[in-house]
Amino acid sequence: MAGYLEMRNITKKFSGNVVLDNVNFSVDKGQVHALIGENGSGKTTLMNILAGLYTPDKGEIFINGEKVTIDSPIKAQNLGISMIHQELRVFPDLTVAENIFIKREPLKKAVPLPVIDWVEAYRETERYLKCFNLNINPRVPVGYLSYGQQRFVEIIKAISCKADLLIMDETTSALTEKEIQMLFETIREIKKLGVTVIYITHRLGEVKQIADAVTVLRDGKVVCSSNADKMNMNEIVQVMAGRKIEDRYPKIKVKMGGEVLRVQNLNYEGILHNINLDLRKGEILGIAGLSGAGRKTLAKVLFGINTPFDGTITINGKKFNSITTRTAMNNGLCYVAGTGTEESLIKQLSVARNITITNLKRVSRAGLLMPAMEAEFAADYLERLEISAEHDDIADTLSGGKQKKVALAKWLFNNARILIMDEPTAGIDIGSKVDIYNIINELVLSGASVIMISSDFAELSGMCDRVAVMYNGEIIKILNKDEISSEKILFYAAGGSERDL
Amino acid sequence: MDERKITGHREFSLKRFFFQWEWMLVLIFIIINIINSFLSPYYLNLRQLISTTATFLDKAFVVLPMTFVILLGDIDISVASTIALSSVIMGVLYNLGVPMAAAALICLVVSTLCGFFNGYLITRFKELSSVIITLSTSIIYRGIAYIILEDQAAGNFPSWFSFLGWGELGGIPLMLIAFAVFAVAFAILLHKTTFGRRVYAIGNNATASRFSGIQVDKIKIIIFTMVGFMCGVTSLFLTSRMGSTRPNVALGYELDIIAMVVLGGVSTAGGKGRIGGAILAVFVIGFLRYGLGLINVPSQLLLIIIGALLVTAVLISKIRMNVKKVRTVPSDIKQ
Amino acid sequence: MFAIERQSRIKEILLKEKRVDVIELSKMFSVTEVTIRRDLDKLAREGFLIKTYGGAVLNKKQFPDLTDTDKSSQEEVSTEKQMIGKIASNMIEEGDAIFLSPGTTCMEIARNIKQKRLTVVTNDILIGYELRDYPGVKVIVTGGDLMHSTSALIGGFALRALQDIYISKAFIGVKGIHFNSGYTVDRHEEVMILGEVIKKSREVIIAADYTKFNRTAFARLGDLRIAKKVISNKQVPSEYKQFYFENNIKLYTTFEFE
Repeated sequence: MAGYLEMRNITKKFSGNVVLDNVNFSVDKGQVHALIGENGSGKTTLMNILAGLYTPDKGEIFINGEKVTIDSPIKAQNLGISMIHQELRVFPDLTVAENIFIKREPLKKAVPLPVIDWVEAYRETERYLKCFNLNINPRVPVGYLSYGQQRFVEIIKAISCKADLLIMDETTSALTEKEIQMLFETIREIKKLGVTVIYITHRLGEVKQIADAVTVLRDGKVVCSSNADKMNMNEIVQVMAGRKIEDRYPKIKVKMGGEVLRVQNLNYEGILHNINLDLRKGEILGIAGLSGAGRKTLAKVLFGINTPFDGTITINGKKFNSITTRTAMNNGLCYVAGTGTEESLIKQLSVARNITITNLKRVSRAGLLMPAMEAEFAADYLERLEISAEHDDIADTLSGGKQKKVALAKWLFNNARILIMDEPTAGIDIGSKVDIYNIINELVLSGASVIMISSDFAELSGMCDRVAVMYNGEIIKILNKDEISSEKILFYAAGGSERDL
Repeated sequence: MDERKITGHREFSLKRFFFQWEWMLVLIFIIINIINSFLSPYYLNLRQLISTTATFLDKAFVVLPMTFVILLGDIDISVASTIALSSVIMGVLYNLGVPMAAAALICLVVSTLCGFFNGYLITRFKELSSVIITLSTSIIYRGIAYIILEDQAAGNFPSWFSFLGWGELGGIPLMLIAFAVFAVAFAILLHKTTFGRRVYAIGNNATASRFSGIQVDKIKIIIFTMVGFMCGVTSLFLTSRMGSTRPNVALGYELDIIAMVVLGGVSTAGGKGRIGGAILAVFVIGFLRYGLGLINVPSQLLLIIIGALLVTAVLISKIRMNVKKVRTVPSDIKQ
Repeated sequence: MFAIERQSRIKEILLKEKRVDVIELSKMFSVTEVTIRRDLDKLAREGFLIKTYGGAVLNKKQFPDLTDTDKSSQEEVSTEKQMIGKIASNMIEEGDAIFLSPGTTCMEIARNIKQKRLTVVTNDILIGYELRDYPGVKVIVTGGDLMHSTSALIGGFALRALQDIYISKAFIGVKGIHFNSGYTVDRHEEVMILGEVIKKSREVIIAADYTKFNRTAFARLGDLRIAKKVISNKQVPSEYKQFYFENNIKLYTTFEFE
């Protein structure tokens, strides 16, 4: 039966930004349909519309040829649509069965009052668990289960709703290889029952294993949709990445000095595996990866936020087996957090206070703050980084581009020599973007080194001397200057390996 | 850059100056005094007023570090128990023959340790809120005090010890002088030093503070330890005034102390407020109590009035925040 | 200690140590780092030193004695132009054949490439003179008519000199940059020479400090898209930054750190 689900001309804007632009998307019954695209390409938004979490600004949805409006999650549920979200949504203190049957518990038929038939609920749960070969006690609170097991509880919950259409958003992102294979087995099982599955992922390897059809989204548009066997990895990567725009980045060639940072056999809490990395004076090293690849975790380990780790980190020849934020800073290493996060600026405080916070000693004498000196310093940094703001402006009132620069200024104030920058240009105007690139240039020219974490692969290709690509907590490829391109980065970031080429 | 004005503070604005909560408190303070002097002919007597401060200043010592705790976004409800425990230990030790000076010193040490223990637990078990932890230690500290003294009292302190709580220097109570010294010290610590700056940073955004290299845990422990120490100071003055000690001294003080800080305009969400407000609030509540006491207003009614003031303070600070939100236009739109 | 005294002390230290550090100096004189940076700024303007991240180094070219010949035409070189020179020198590789157009901006580039091995073609006699002492630098001065009261060579002779050479990177200083009028220079005779250079060059790089933006000089050199690289300062108006970025033109701007 063809054309089971059809979404026509779906458009969605968030505060002026077009996230989905006239998207047409159709799925056949009983198919596993993979929906792929880079971070922020609109995959999750499209599916959230289907699950009734967002209403589209424009467009129509047809199920079995009938036009439907899905304006609430309940409506979606009634239509047989069930979604497993990217982040876990379980109640850790409730048992497996309680989680699975929440809000639709089976009632005792013999009693006219709504009394829950727990015997039935547990029996039903056990049946499902057996069906998926899961060795879990249904009476155990979900919080005691492993992450993978919790995932399966969610999946069972979704299936037990008698869903016709199951949406899985990045379900495999934190699963082990064994669990992933189990999940695929499950998907094949439910496919046999006639359930349709939309499978959001950015791992191309999985697409080959499980999907019947593929749709690729880029910048909120469908760029390609076809049967899975007709596409190869390279083609998918090509269409995902789009046009070549690496020429516009003002990269300066800098004579590199000696090694300033070396990471050896770094492991962290099962999130990072066997990371090996080195950075030279004057080098810009890019770290690429899709969300959940472990880029930020790596940065936070290096900066002493996430501790303890296994392995060694060598900064300027000094070996460390453990690092605190203090030792990192004292050795000139800093983490310029993304301004979209809580980690960057203290938004309620003034620009000057944000800049000087990293090194209050510089603006104090014997512990007493010198407000005039602080203001002078802040004004000086504002001028040098071309930030048109006053030192006593509250950080929150500044535009995104200015905030990024202030976040950088605060680390320059502490004489940073190794800067780990998280998404240094995400979401800011082009003028500020160009400024940031040139500030990075100036930094490496003066002998600092930069590690640039970015989801903008064109930017990484344009600005970096080398790019380390992370996938699933590992560095699976380090690209040298002459081999860097957006396509290559995306290929490896999506889990491609040499033999796929 | 030369055209840019480089000053430590924003330009002085009369409007902003009077819009501060501290001025509301001053206003309330004046109104209370006017009403009081109308209601009771005995009220308006400067000497009397000054020596009255000694009746409510015991709590005020803890208000100072409590301001830091609330600025951090935390709370410490074990202060009353800490006062009781240190007071009881001091009394018992003295009665066992330990010299008074040594007993007083031990009182300070015990309370400081209590505070340190709170800080340690709060930073060690981050998943528990400071409310839960200090509630538990509050019960523990008070419990220990009961175990030591059961339902007895300890006392018979030397006469010089009572001078601490009752003595006056040039007509000014010793307690007022001590409080003034501590108040100035804490005000400088909070508003003029790098330490105070870090407290505000943590209170506004602990994550960003940590990512800026501030040792959040260390500062928390220091502050809770300071609270403990000041509990010891209170304990000394309070015990001196009472002349004896029991395990149930200072019962309910924690609520009064927290109320004073909140009335002083310090936001319980952390990061906002000044120590001056808290100090003013001490006197507002103190004189309110005294004045209403003179005209024999029942203490239950007194509590209602203080409660009403508190609600007003919280509401007004919320309204002011909303007004500010509307008023702040991003700077690039202005251009 | 007065600023003057302090600055002369800094000069002494520089002459002896060849480099200074802002933090050390501020401790030594117990003044703020901002103050020290101001001092260094001043000395940099005097051409005594070159600022670096965290300090400054002695400006060596100042000491192979500059003769009187170029003092007359030596305008005060702004820090902005110095920084442009520094950035440009980082684009030049060993073995390049570069062209430097007349003017102080390109003079700054010349000052920063003395230690490299390369060929420099120029129609500015002062640039040629500046590079006379450096064995690694092969200098070709075009010849031609000396433009009145400048050091630029123009006319048929200059043009003929350019005929049979090829240039890998041409650095061209302009007097105006504008969305409508494009890149402009003072005289149309210059346009003839520069137009020929652009034809002969693999890469054209415009070097102009920020004051040249939104200005139009007399003679038009070409559209804003004729160069794929532009070097300027951080004060470049935002709309130009955006224009260059969207048109795949690399805009290099200078930011100064301590």
